[in-house]
Amino acid sequence: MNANVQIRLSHLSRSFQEGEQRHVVLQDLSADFAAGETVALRGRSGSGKSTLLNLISGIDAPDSGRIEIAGLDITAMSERDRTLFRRVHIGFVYQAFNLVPTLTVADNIRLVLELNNVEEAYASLRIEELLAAVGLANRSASYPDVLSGGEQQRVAIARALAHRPRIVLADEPTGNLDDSTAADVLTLLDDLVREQGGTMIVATHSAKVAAFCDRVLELQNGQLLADSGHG
Amino acid sequence: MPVLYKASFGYLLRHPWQLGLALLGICVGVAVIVAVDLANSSSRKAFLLSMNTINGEASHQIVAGPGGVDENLYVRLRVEEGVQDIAPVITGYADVNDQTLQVLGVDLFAERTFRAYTLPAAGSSGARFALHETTFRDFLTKPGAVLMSTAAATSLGLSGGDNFTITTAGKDYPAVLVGTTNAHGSSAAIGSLLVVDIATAQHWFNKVGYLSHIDVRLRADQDTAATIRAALPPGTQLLSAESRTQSITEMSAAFMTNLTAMSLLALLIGTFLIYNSVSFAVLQRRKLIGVLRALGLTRRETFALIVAEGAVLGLVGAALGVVLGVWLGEQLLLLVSQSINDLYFRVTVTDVDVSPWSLLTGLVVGVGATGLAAIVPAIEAAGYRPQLSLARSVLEHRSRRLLPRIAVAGLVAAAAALIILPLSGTSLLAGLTAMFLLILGFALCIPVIVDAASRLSAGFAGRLGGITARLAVRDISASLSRTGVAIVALAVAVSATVGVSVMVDSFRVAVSAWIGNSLRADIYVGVPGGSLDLELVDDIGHLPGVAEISSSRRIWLEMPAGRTRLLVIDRAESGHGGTELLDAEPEATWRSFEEEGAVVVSEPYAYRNDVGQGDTLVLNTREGPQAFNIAATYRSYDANQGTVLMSRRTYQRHWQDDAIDSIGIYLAADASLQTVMDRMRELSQGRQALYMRSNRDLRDLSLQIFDRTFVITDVLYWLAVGVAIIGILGSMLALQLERAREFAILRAIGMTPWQLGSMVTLQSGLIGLISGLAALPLGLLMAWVLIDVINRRSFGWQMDMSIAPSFLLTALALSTGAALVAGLYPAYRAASARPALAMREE
Amino acid sequence: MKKVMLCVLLILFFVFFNATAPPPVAGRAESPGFAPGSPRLASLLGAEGAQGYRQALAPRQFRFPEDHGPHPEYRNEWWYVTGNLDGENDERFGFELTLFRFSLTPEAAADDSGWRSNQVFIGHFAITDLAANKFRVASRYSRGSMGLAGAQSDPFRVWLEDWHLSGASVTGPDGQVGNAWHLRANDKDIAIDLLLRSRQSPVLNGVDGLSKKSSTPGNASYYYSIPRMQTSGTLRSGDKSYEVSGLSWLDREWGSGGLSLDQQGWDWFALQLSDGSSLMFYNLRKIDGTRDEFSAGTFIAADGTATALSRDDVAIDVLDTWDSPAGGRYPMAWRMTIGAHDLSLRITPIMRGQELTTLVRYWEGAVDVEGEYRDTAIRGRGYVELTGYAADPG
Repeated sequence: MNANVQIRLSHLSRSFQEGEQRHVVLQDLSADFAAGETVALRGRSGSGKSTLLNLISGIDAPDSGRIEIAGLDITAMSERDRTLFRRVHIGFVYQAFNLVPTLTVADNIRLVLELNNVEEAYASLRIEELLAAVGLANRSASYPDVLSGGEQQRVAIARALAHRPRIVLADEPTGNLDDSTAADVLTLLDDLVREQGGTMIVATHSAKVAAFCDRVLELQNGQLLADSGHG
Repeated sequence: MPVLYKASFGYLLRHPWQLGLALLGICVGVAVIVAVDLANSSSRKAFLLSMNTINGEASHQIVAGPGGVDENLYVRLRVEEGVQDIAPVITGYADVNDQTLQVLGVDLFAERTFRAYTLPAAGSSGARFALHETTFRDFLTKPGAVLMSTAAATSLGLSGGDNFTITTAGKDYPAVLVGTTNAHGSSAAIGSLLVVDIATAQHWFNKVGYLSHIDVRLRADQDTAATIRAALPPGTQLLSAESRTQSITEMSAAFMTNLTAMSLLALLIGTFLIYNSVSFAVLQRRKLIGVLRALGLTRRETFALIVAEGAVLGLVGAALGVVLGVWLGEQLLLLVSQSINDLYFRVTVTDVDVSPWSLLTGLVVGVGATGLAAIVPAIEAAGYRPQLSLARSVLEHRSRRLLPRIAVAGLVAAAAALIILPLSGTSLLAGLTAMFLLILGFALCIPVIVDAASRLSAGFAGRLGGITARLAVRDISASLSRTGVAIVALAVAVSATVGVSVMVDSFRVAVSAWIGNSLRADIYVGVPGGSLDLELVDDIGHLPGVAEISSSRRIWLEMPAGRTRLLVIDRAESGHGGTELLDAEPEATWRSFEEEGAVVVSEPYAYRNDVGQGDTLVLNTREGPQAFNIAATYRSYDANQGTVLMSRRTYQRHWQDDAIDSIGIYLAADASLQTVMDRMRELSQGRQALYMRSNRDLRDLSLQIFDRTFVITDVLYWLAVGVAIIGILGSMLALQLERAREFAILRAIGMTPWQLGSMVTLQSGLIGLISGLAALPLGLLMAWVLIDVINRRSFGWQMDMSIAPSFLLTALALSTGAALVAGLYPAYRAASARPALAMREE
Repeated sequence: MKKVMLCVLLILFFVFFNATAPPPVAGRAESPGFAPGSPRLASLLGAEGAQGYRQALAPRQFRFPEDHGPHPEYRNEWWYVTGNLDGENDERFGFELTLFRFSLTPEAAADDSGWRSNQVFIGHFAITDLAANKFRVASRYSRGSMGLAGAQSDPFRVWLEDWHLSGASVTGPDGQVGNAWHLRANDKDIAIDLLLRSRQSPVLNGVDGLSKKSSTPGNASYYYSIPRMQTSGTLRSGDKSYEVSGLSWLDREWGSGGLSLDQQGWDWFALQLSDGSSLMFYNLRKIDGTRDEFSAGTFIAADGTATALSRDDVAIDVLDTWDSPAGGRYPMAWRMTIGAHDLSLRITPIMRGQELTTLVRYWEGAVDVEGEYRDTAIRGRGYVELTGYAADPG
C-alpha cells in the first residue's frame, strides 16, 4: 500500500429500500485518496455523492466493502468508536450549513472544540483565529439566523476545520453562494486544508469548484471514474 | 460540556410556552402529592401530639368498659399494693363560649411522674408566692376550679379569678380560672387543654366513682406490671399506651391511603405531561440532534443530554411544586382534618407541619417521574442517525409500527391487574396497584384506538366538512406520535373525573337509601359528648304525642388487639326493619338478638374480621372476656372498623351500665312534630340542653357530612383535570409550532387565516372528543374498581354502581371544552403567522 | 417541739409544686425567701392565713387515745416518730417517719365526688444505716380522701398510701395491755415494720400541753410526746433485712399558728438517757443569731415526772460543725448543760451526712449521748433536728 494513502475505499456497495424497490447507489466502488490531496467529486443529482461522503465520515455504513482511513478500518468499528473517530478526524461542511441556531457563531465552533476536549483558553484563541481567517471576526457573538447565506457557509467551514481534522468533507459548499463569494469560500477552504496537510473531498456540480481541486472524480452508476478533463 | 447544554437549553428558552407548561405540569403534580402528604401527616401528628400530651409519660394505661375504671382500684393499688407511678385520669370534652376544649381531670399529687405541664405555673407578679399558694389551694378545694394555658385563657377572654360557665353533655356547670398551667415549650395540644381536679372532672362528666383510665408508668422492673395485673378485676385491663393510640390512628389509615392514591393519580397525569413535553422537545430538535450526532456526539451522550434536560426540568418543576404544595397543603389541611373529625376522631390542627421528609419525597418523586418520562424520548433521540436523514414521515411511520406493541403492553398491564385483584385478598395496596395498572394498561391502548378511529372517520369528515375537516382529522392520526400522548393524558384525567364521580354518586345513592331506611324515628334527641339524663328520658316517654321511644348508646370496647365499637340499642316496634340484614332472616335474628344475647355485626365489621352469621366474637365485659353469637350481618356505611350491635338488655346484663346517649321518638298518629319538640324543650329546660333533630334534619345533616367528606376528593380530581388541561394546551401548542412550516405552505397555496384557524380548532376539539370518548370506558372501569375493590378494602362497604348519564355527558363536554380552550391560542398563532417567515425557519 | 416543722411543710408544698416551674429570671437574689423566718413565708403563715381555723389559745384537756387521732379543725398536725435501733449483730440504725396533715381550707367543700378534700398529707421517711454508711430518704404526698391518706382516732390510724402508723393493743409477756403502735413504711431501698410499746403516759409539753412559739396569740400548738417506746420489728436497708429493736420517740403536735418574723430556724433535741429519764428541748434561733426567749423543753425523770425547761435553764455550746456538700454549715456536736438538774451532756451524731436533701433541706439524725447526771456517768441516744442552716435546693 502506498504510504501516502489517507483514505482507501474498497468494494463499497450501498443501496436503499424505497417501497418495494431497491435503489442501488454505490456498487463495488473502490478508490484511494492521498494525504494533502484535494479531490472534487462530480456527478448528477442522485448519483450518490452525498451517500459516499456520509460513508466516509462514518455517518452512514456501507452494505459491504471497507473504508480505511489512515490504515484504520472504520467499517469494522462500533457505532460508538466510529462516532468518536469522526469527532476527532473528520470535518464536514454541509450544503445547508447545519449551524446550531441556538448558539452564537463562536459557540457553534466552540462546540466542536469542546467535544474534542480542547482547553478553553486555546479554544478561544482558535475561534478567534478561525473567524479572522473566514472574515467574520466581528460576528462571533451573532446568532446564525442573522447571518447571510455566505456568512453562514463560512461559519460552517470554520467549524469543520476547528479541530484540525485529517479529512475535510464538503457537500456543495458553494451551493447557495454567488460566484464571487463561492470563489472566496473555496480559496479559503483550500488554503486552510493545505495549511493543515489534510485531505479534502468536495462534492460539487460546479466546474469552477472542480478546477480548484487536484483531482476530479466522476460518480456514475455507482462507480467512480476519473474525470477526463483532469490529470 | 457547557456549550452542548447551552444548545439544548437554548432551545427550551426559545419556546417559553412549552417550557412553562412542562414545568407547570410537573409542578402541579408534585404540589398535589406534597400537599396531600403534608395534610395527612399534619393531621396525624397533631393527633399523636395531643395523645402524647394527654398520656404524658404513661407507658401503660389501665382501662375498663364503658363506665370507666372503678376509682377504688386506684386506691387499692396505691394503699394496699404499694404501687407508685400511677395516676388517675378523666378526659372529656367541654364547651366554653362555643369553643370545644379537651378537659383533663387529674390528681396533682400523682402528676409529677406523668405531666409536668399540669402543675400550676408561678404567677408573674411580685406576689408570686401568695398567688401560688392560693392557686394550688383553690385548685384542690374549689369545685369547678380550672387551670389552662395562657394561650387558652387569652382565646377564651378569661383572666385569673374569672368565673365562667362550662357545658358538658348539655348541662352547664360553674367554673373558675384559678391559674395557668405550666406549659413551657407548649404545643397546640396543651393550648386547648383545661386541667381540673379529678373531683371536678367526675362531677362534670357524670363519672362519680369512676376514672377514664389510670395512667401507669412501668419501669424496668416487671414486678409492677405483675402486681397490677393480679389486682385487676375482670373486664379491666392493663394496655400499652402506645398501642391504644395506634389503634385509634389506624382507623383513619385507609382514608389517608385513599387520599395518597388520589394524589398519585395527579402525578401520573403529570408524568404523561412531562413525557409529552420532553417528546416534543426531542421531535422538534431532530435536526439539531442529527447535527450533533454528525459532529461526533455518541448515542450515550445524546441519551444523557436528553435525560439531563428532563432531570433539570423535573428538578425545577418539582422545586416549584414543593413550594406550591406547602401552600396547597395548608388549604387541604382543613378539609382533611374536618373529614377525620367527622369520621374518626377529634383532632385540632391549625398549622401544617412541614416535614422535610414530605418535601424531599415530593422532590424525589417529581424528579424521578420526569427522569422516567424523559427516558423514552431520550432513547428515541439516541437512535437518530447522524445528520438530518430522518424525515417526519419516517418517524411517524416508525411510531405507528410501535402502536400495536404499546397496546399489547397495555393489555398485559390490564391483565396483570385483573390477576392481582382476585389474588390479593383484602390488601388495599394491592387494590390500588391493580387500579393504576388498569389505568395504565387502558391508557396504552388508547393510541391504537385513536389511530383507527381517525383514519376511519377521515373520509367521512371530508365529505362533511371539506378539505379543512379532512386535513384536521387525518392529521391527528398522521401526527400520532405527538397527539397520542396528549390524548392519553387528557383521557386519563377525564376518566378520573368519571370514575370518582360515579363512585361518589353511587356511594351517595347507597348511603342516602341506607340513612333513609335506618332513620325511622320522627325525632332524634341526644346531647353532645355525653349521656342523657335518665329521668328526663322517662319524662319524655310520657309526653302526650309520644308513641314509642328507642334508645341507643355508643361505646368503644378495648381489647389488647384493638378497639371495637359497640352500639347498644333498645328497639322500638315501629323501627323494625330499619336495620337491613344481609345474611339472615329478620324474625329469628331479632328474637335471638333480644332474648338470647346474640349480636348483629355491621358489614364493615364482618369484612374486617372475616366473620358472619353463625360465628362468635369475644367482647371484654365487666366480668371479663365473653363470647357472643353473631346472629346476622347488617348493611352499614360506618367509617371505621365496623360496629357490633347489641340489645340493651344483653348489654345491661354484661356491663351493668344503664346510660343512654340518644333516643329516637316515634310520634303518635295524630301528634304534631312541632308540638312534641316544643314540649320536650320545655321539659328539658334547666335540666339538660338537648340536641333535637327531626328525621328530615338528621337525614340532611348526615348527607351534608357525607358531602363534606368528599370535598377533598373533588378538590383533588379538579387538580388532576387542571394538570390535564395544562397538558393538552402544551401539546396543542407544540403540535402547531412544529407544523409552522406546513401551515406556511398551506397559507402560501391559498388557505385563509380563518380556514387555518378553524382547522386547528377543529383538530383540538376532535382530540378532546376522542379523549373524552376514550375516557368513558376507562372512567367506568375505574369507578368499578373504586367501588368494588378500593372502597370495600378500605372500609368494607358494599354498594351498587349507579351511573348517572349526566356524568358521562359532563365528562365529554369537559374533555372537548378543555381541548378547545387549549387549542385557541395555537389556532390564533397558526392563523396569524406570516408564511414567508415560517417557511424560512426550516 | 416541731412547731416550726409547719414551715417545713409549707416550704415543701411550695417547692414541690414549683419543682418544675422555671427558675426566676433574675436569679437567686430575686427568688422568694424560703428560709423559715423569711418575711414572705411569715406573712403567709401569719394570723390572716390562719383565719377560720381553731386556734391553740389556752391549755386544753387532753384525752387519750382520742387525741392520738386527727384534729382537722386545726390547720396543721403531725405524727412524728424517730428512733434508734440495733440489729441482732449489733448493726446500728436510726429511723424517722413523719406524717403531716394540713388543711387547705377551714371547711371542706361539699362535692359528690369522693376525691374532693381540703386535707393534704405529706410523709417523710428516712433510715440511717451506720454500717453501710448510708442515709436514705423517701417522701410521699397525697390528698386526704378516697382512703389514699387520712387519720382517724378509733381505731387509731394515720396513713399515707401504704405507709401507716396505727394503734394496736398488745398484751405483754406479763399479761399487761399497753399502748402499742404499729408503724410501717417502705420505699425502693428501705422499709420498716415496727411495733412500738410504751408503759408511760404521754408527756405534755409547754404549759399543760400548750406550747407557745412566740408572743402572738395563736402562734402556739398543742404538743405531747411519748419519749420511750420499746420498739421491735424488721428493717430493710438496701437489699438486706434485719430484725431490730430499740427505743423510739413519738412527737404529736397540732395547731393553726404561724411564725414569728425574726426566727431563723431551730435545733431540736430528743434524748433518751440510760437511767430511764428523757429530755426534749427546742432551741429557737433568731435571725440575729441569738436564742429566742420562747425556746423551751421538758425533762422527764425516770419515774415519768415532767419538768418544763425554759431558755435560760439550758446552756448549749456547739463543739463541732459540718459543711454540707450541698452547701451550708451545720453544728455537729454539742455540750448541753442543765444546771438545775445537775445534768451535763455531750451530744454527737452517729453519722454526719444525715441531711434530707429532698425538696427542702434539713438535718435530722440519730445521735449518741455521754455525760454526767448528779456526778454519775450517764449515756443515751436520741434524735436531733436542725433547720435554717442551709439554703434551699435549687
